[in-house]
Amino acid sequence: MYFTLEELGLVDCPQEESFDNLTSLAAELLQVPVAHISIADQARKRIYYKSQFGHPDELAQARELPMQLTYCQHVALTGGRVVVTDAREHPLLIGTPAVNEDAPLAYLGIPVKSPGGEVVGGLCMMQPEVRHWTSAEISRAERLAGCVSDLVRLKVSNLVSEQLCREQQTFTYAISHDLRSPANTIGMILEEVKLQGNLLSEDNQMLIDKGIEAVERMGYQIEDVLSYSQTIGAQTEEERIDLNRMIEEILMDLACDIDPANTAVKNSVCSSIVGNPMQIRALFQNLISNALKFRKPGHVHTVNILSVPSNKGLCILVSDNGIGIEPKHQRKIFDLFQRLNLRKDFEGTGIGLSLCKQVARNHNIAIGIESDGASGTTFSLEFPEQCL
Amino acid sequence: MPVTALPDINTVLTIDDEPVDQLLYRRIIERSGIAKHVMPFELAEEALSYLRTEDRLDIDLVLLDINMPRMSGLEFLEQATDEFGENFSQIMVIMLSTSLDPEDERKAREYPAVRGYLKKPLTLEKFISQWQAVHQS
Repeated sequence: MYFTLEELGLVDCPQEESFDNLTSLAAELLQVPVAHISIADQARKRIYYKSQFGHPDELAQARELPMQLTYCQHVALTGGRVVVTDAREHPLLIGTPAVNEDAPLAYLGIPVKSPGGEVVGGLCMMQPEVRHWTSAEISRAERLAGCVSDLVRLKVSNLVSEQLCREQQTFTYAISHDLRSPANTIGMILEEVKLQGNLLSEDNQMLIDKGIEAVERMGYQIEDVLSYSQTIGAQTEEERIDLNRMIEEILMDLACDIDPANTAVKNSVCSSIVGNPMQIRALFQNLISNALKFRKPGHVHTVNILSVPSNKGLCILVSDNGIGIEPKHQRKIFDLFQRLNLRKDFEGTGIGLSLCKQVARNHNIAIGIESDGASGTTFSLEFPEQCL
Repeated sequence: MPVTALPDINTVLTIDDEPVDQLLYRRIIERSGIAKHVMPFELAEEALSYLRTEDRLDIDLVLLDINMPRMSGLEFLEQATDEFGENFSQIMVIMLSTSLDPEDERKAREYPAVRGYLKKPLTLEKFISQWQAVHQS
């Protein structure tokens, strides 16, 4: 993938501490009054200072110089380090407009590279007086410049991952959308055939019904995949959430799954947290509907949603006395499309807990499970301090 | 289709958690005339316990799904190979999968019992041509 210097935040961008730290470190380590990270912007024939230390006020304000007025251009032009003991005698600089009475005499410029190996600029150190740079000094500067290149690499990686995430979301959305339409068509065809059902053998009538069920299931599956893809990638719109209210709303939505005659649900959570409301809702919705779903036949089912003291922040438990999850199966329950039960026993798409895991990851929530595989399951959510 | 020319086998195990797929497998196998008996299992664990029973039928062929609850088809292969060794490797296994992940196929083919790999849905044509390929080799 190709990114412009601007997209990478290397030109016309705010200063960044990570770059500034390396610049000031370079100045200290090599004992020079001036150091900077210069970016060679070939399109606009200028050198842009991504980071600067010790520049005179005017230059510090402008943060750029026409390329021909700089020593730094030669780092990009030659693609290698530029070591200047005395600018007045250096073959690259002698007689050029860059060497004027304000210009430093000694200069050391080390290339900063993009992950592709292209020289995008340099880490440069300079002083007014003549200086013989020792090989130890040059080596130190090169190691620091390596760190600057790593920062550039990190920026590229971040952009790539953001881009992939966006593409993946668009892709999943398009796929789900395009799958829905043939599924709808098949559903309609089957319904049509079913109208003439009396012409078919009993066996074939049953197959038509199974086909209709399967297409309906496909609809749910597509919807779940879609909501999963929407929670991937950190959406940062966060607000304060009243958990008690959110859980009560979820319980209301799930009311048709709760038969008061054999199910007791208790919500004693009264905390509030900061998070993305849509994602946190999906998290609780999935945990609670699982807790309601996996009941033991013939038992009075109880579901408890409560908060317990925690030394890290806030811990919320969603617990039930249902069928439980055997310890040997617990490690795979968060995997995508993983199911532990036959459809005739418990419906499901195998996406819910993967989605919970993703939401938890986005919010730095530690999600845990406790079950002996026989007497219920407890999911725990440890909210970090930043969520409180 | 040269159905009658094919050699008969006795028993096919079909292991798949989807009841409708099971029903369709049975129909296809019956139509092919290849096997006398079809034994369906919706969970790989149940098929494993059947393999453990002493007076069980001789099994010639297993149709095995990959993505199943609790124990996947790959886990079944691992466990059965560990437990029954040569006895299991002599049974012909044909994998049936919706999985588009080539890694799954590579892993499955590492087991000597696995002779074929079919992408779902199973059709009569696919079943017969796969059977011919498996049986001749």
